[in-house]
Amino acid sequence: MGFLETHLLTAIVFLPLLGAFICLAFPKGEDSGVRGFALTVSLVDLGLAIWLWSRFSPNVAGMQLAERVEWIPSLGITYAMGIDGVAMILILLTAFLAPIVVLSTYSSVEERAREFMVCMLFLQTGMLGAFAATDLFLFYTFYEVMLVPMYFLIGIWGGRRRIYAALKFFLYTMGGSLLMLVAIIYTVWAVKDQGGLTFDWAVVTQRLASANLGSTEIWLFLAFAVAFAIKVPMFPFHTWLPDAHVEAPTGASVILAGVLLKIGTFGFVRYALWMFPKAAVAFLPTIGVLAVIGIIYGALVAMVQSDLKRLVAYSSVSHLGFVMLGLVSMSVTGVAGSVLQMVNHGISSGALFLLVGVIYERRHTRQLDDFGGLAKVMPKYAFLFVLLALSSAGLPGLNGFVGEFMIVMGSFGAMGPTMDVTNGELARIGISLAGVIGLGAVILMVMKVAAERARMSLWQRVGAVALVALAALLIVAPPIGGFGGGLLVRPLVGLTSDNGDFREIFALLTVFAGTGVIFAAVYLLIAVQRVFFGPIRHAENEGLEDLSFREQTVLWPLAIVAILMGLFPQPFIDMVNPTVDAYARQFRERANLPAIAMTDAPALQPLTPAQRDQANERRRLPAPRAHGNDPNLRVRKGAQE
Amino acid sequence: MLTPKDLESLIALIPILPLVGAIINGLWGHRLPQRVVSLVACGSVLASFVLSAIVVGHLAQAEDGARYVSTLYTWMASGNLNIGVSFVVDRLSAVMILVITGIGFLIHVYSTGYMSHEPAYARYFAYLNLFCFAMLCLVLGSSLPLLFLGWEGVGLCSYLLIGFWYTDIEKAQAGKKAFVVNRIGDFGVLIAMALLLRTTGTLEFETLRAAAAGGVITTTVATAAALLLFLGATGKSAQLPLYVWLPDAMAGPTPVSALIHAATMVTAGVYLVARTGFIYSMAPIAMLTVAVVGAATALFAATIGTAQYDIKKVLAYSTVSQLGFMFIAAGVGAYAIALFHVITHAFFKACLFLGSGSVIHGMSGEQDMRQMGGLAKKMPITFATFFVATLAITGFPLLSGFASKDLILWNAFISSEGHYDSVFHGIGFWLWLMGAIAAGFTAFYMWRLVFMTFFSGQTRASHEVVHHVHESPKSMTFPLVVLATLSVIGGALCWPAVLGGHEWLAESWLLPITGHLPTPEGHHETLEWTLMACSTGIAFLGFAIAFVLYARRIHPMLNRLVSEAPFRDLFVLVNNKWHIDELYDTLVVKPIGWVSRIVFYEGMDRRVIDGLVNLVGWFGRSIGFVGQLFQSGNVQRYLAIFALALALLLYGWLSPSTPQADQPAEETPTSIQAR
Repeated sequence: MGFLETHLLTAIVFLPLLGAFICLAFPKGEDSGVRGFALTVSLVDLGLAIWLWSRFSPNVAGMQLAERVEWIPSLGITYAMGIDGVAMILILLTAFLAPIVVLSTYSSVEERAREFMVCMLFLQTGMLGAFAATDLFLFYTFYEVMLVPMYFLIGIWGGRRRIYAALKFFLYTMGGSLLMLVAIIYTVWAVKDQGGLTFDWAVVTQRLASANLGSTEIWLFLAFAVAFAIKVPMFPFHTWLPDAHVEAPTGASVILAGVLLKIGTFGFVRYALWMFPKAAVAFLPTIGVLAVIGIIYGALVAMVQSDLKRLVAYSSVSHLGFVMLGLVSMSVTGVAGSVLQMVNHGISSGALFLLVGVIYERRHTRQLDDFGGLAKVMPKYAFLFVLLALSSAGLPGLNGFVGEFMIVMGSFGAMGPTMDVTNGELARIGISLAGVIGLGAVILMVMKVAAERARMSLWQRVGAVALVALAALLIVAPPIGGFGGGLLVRPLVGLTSDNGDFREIFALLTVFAGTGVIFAAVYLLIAVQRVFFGPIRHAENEGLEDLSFREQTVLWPLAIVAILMGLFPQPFIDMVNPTVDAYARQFRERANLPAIAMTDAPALQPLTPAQRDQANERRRLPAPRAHGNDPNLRVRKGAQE
Repeated sequence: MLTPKDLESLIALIPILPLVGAIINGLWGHRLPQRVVSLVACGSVLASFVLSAIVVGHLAQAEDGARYVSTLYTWMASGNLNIGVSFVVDRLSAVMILVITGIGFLIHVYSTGYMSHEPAYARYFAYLNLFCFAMLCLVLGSSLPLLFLGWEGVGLCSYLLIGFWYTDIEKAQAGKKAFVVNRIGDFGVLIAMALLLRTTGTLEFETLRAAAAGGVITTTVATAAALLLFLGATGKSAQLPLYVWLPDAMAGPTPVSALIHAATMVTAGVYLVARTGFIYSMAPIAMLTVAVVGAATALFAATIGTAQYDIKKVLAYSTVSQLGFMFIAAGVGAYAIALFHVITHAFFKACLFLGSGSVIHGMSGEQDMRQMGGLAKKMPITFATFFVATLAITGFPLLSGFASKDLILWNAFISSEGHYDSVFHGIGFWLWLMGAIAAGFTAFYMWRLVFMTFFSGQTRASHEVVHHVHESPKSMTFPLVVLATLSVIGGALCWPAVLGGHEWLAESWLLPITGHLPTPEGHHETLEWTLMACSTGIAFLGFAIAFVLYARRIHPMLNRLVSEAPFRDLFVLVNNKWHIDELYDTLVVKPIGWVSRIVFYEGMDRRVIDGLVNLVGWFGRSIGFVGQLFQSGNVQRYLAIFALALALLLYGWLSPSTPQADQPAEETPTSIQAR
C-alpha cells in the first residue's frame, strides 16, 4: 500500500482512465459486464476518495497530500497535484456522483453501452484531474480533456438536436479555454524573469504579486474570467447550457450540472480571482451584478418553460448565480457558502436530472403538459421529486438552504471595493470591447457581402445595413461603449453616496439576489404541480410504474445526503472553512480591499435578568414629547417595586 | 423537582417527539392499521404536551427571567456566522408551546374522527405531526435562523395539507399560492437576518436584545429590520397586502384549517413581532406601520366576511380580521395583549372551525350555508359549542374574546398618549374606531353564519343529505366541548384591570420579556368604561342587524335590497372579495409571466444571445468561404499571388524608412506620459 498511500491523488484521478482502457477490451455486446465493471471502478474510486477525506486534515489552509514529478522540465511543466478544502469537497462530490450516474445508465443507455462507459470514465479522470492539479499546464490539459468525452456523450447519445447542442457546447467552451490558454502562456512568460520558466500555480501566483504587469493584468484576468464564466455559466454566456442539457442523455446531464459547471466556479476561486487580485477587485461588482442578473433571469426563464429538463437547466443558471455572488463577495461566510452551494447544487440538480430521466424513460417526453396527476400512480417518485425540488428551492432543513443562507448572510455583510475606481476601469474595458466588436462587425459585413452577394434577400440587405450602421456607430463613438460599461454600476454609486465612496454594493446586490428565493419556489412548485397534481389527463400515464429498486438505489443516496447536509452541514463547512478563510482574507489583503472584520463576533453576552429589566426600563423611558405638558408619564403598574 | 439539566434534555424532546411520529407514519404508516397510526400521531403530541407542561411548571416556580436552554449541536458556523441548534423555553415560548401542543392534541383527536374514511389516513397524520414539529421549532428556536427553519417548515406543511387532496387541481393550486405568497414574506425575514447579522454579528435573540440595549442597533437599522420582519409577518399571518392565500387555504381538510390556519401557524407573525419586540420598540415608524396595517386588515377582511356563503370562507376572513386585531396590539407596543388575543383566538377560532367541520361532516361535505339551516336541533353539541364560541369571538361581555378585544381596543386608543406619542399622536382614536367597526362587522357575519346554519327554518339541502345529518362522533365533540369551555374561561389569563382583574399574562407572566404595557398612568377608568360600552354597543348592533335579516328566515327586506342596483353592486363586489385576486393577477402575475416569456426567454435568450452566437458561427463559415476562394487549384494564380506577396515583403524590408524622424516631438510616448 506504500505507493498508493503516497500517490493517492494520482490513483484517484487515473483509476477511471485505467478503467476506461480496460472497458475497451471488453467484447462488443458484453453490456452488462461493462456496466458492472464501470460501476466497480467508480465505487472503488469513491472508496479511495473517502480514504483521501480521512487523510485530509481540515485544519490546514494550504495544499495537502501533494505530489510532484517533473514532466517537461525544459518548459518548467510539472506533474503537480494537491488538494485544499475546496478541491477536497469537489473531488468527493465527483466521486460520489460517478457511481450513481453509472448505475442510472443501466436502462437509459441501450446502444453502445461500452463506448458510453468509456466516455464516462474518461470524463471522470478529466474532472478529478482538474480539481487536483496544481500546475497550470496540467490543469489546462485536464480542463480540455473533459471536453472531448462530453462532446461525444451529447453528440452520440443525445436527443434530436444533439449535433447542434454538442457543437454549441464544444465551441462555446473551446472559445473560452483558448483565451485562457493564451493567458496562461502569457502569464508564465511574463514572470519567467523571477527565476526561470515554471507553470507551478503557487509559484506563478507568488511571482505575479511582485510583478508589475500594469493593465495587461486586467486582460489576463478577463481571459481567465471569460473562460470560466462560460463554464459556470454566467449570464450572458449561458445559452449553451439549456441546449446541452435538453439534448444530453440523463447521465451526461447529471455530470454536466453536478460537476462540470463547478469547474467554472472552482476556476474562479483557484485561478481567475486568486492569481490576479489587483485586476479582479475592479470587476467584483460587475461579476456580482451579472451573478444577480443570472439569479433572477434564470429563475424567471425557468418559470415559463414547458420542458421539464429545460426548466431544471435554467434553474442551474439561477443557482450558480448565487454561487458566484458569494465568491466575489470575498467574505468568509459567503465564500464558504458558495463552495457548499456548489456541492448542494450538484446533489439537488443532479438528482432532479435523474428524476426527469426516470419519467423520460417511461414516457419519452418531458413536456409538462403530458403529465399531471402522477402522484397517484407513482407515490415514491413523487415523494423524492418533491423532496429534491424543495432542496433545490432552499427549504431550511435541506441542503440547498444552508449554502444559500450563508451566501446571503456573507455577501450582505461584505465590504466591497470602492466603486469609483471601478468606473474608470470599466469605462476603459467598455471602450476597448466596443472597438473590437465594431471592427469585427465591419469585417463581418464586408465578408458577408463578398460571400453572398449573389443571393441576398431583402431582409438580409436590411440586416446588413443595420449591422454596418451599428458597427460604424461603435467605432465612431467609443465613448458610448465606455458609457455602456460604466452604466452597470454608476447608478448604484449615485444611489447611496455622493462622494463616490460606496462600499455596500454587495449588500445591495444581495437584496436583489434574495428575490431569487421567491422565484425558485414559483418555478419548482409549478413543475411539481403540473407533473404530480390534478387528475390524470393522459391515458398513457395511468399505468406508469413507480420507481424500480435500481432507481431507488440511485436516488435515495442523493436524498439522504440532501437531508444530512441540511441538518448537519458543519462537518462539510469545517472542511472548507480554513481554506476559504485564508482565501478571502489574503485576497482582500492583496487587493487592498477593506478587511473583512467589520462585525467579527462582538463580545455580546446574553443579559442577566437584572440587566434585562434595566434595558426594559430604559426602553420604557418616555421619548421627548412634542407638547411636553405631561411630565408624570409613568407605566401603569409594577414600576413601584 | 427536576434539575435544570434534566429539563434541558426534556426540552429537546418536545419538538422531536412529533418529528418521530411524522417519520413513523410517513414511512410505514400505510402498512400500519389505522388505530396504530392514530395512537402514534396523537400520542406523540400528547407526550409533547405533557413534557411542555412539566417544563412550564418548573419555569413558573423559577425566578422571573429564567429560561431553559437546550443546545444540541452547531448547525452552521463560518466567518462571523455561528448558529447552534438550540431550543429555549422562556415565558414567551412557554405560552406558545402549551397552545400548540394542547390545541394540537385536541385537533389530532378530532381528526381521528373527521378523517376516519380517508384512504391516505397515515399521510395526513404524518403531515400534521410534521407541522407540530416545525411549529415547535419556530417558537422554541433560540435564534432567528432556527425560527426561520420552523417558519418555512410550517409553510411546507401548510402547502402539503392545503393540497392534501391533490387530485383536485384547484386545491393543489391553493397550496402553491400559499407557499409562494409566504415566500415573499420570507424574503423579508431573510434580508432582515442579513441586516441584523451585519450590524450586530449575532442572530441569537438574547444577544440581539443585548445589542439593542447596548445601542449597537441604530434607529435606521432597527426600522429597516423591523419592517422587513413585518413583511414576513404579513405573509405568514395573512395581513394586507399578502393575505390572499389564507382564504384559498380553506381547500385543506377542516381540522387543518383549525390548527394551522386559525390557531397556530398564522399567529407566528404575531409571535415574531413579540419576540423581536425590542427591535420594534426602537423603531416607532415600524410600529405605526404594524398597527395601521393591522387595523386596516381587521376592517377590510371583516367586510369581505359579511358577504360570503361558504362557511369556511367566512371563518377564514374572520381569522384574517382577528389577526389584524393582534397586530394592532403588537403595533402599539402591547405585545403581551397581542399574545393574549393569540391564545383566546386559538380557543374560540379552533372551536368554530372544528364546529364548522362537524357541520360539514354532518352535511356530507356541503359547505354552502344557503344549503344549511335548522341544524341546531339535529346537532345539539356542535350547536352549543359553536354558539359559545360565537359569543366569545363577537365580544359578548365576560367571555374570553371580550377581554382580549377590549384590551386591544383600549391600548390602541390610548397609544396617542403612550410612549410612542410622537408618531401615534392623533392616530389612537382612528385605530380604535377601525377596530370597533371591525368588531361590529365581526358580530354581524358571525351571527349571520350562526343563523343561516343552525336556525332560519328547515335545512335547505337535498333530501338525501338532510336524511343523513347526524351529530358527530365523540372523538369530534370532545375537543369541541373542551375548546368551548376554554373560550369561556380563557379571559381569566389576562382579565382587564378596569374590570377588577390583574392582567396576569401581561403584567406578571410576560413582563420580563415584553415589558410593561405602554399605557400611561392616569384616571382613565371613565374613558375605558365609555369605550368598552361603545364597542360592545357596535357589536350588538351587528348582532341586531344579523338577527333581523337572518334569524327566522332570509328577511324579505334583504331580498329587496340585494335586488336593487347600488346595494346589489356593492354586494357582488364584496362577495367577489373586492376583486383583489384579479387585481394582483393583472398587475403582478401576468406581467411577470409576459416579461419572462416574451422579453427574456424568446427575446433575449433565443434572439439576441443565440443570435450573436450563431453570428460567430457564421463568421467562421464565412472565413472558410473566403479562404476557399484562394484554393482554386489554379497553379498559375497561386504563383502570381506568391510573387506579389514576395514583392511586397521585399519592398517593406529594403525601403529606407526612418519613422522616428517623421514624427513631431510631442507625439512620442514619453511626452504623453509626462502630460
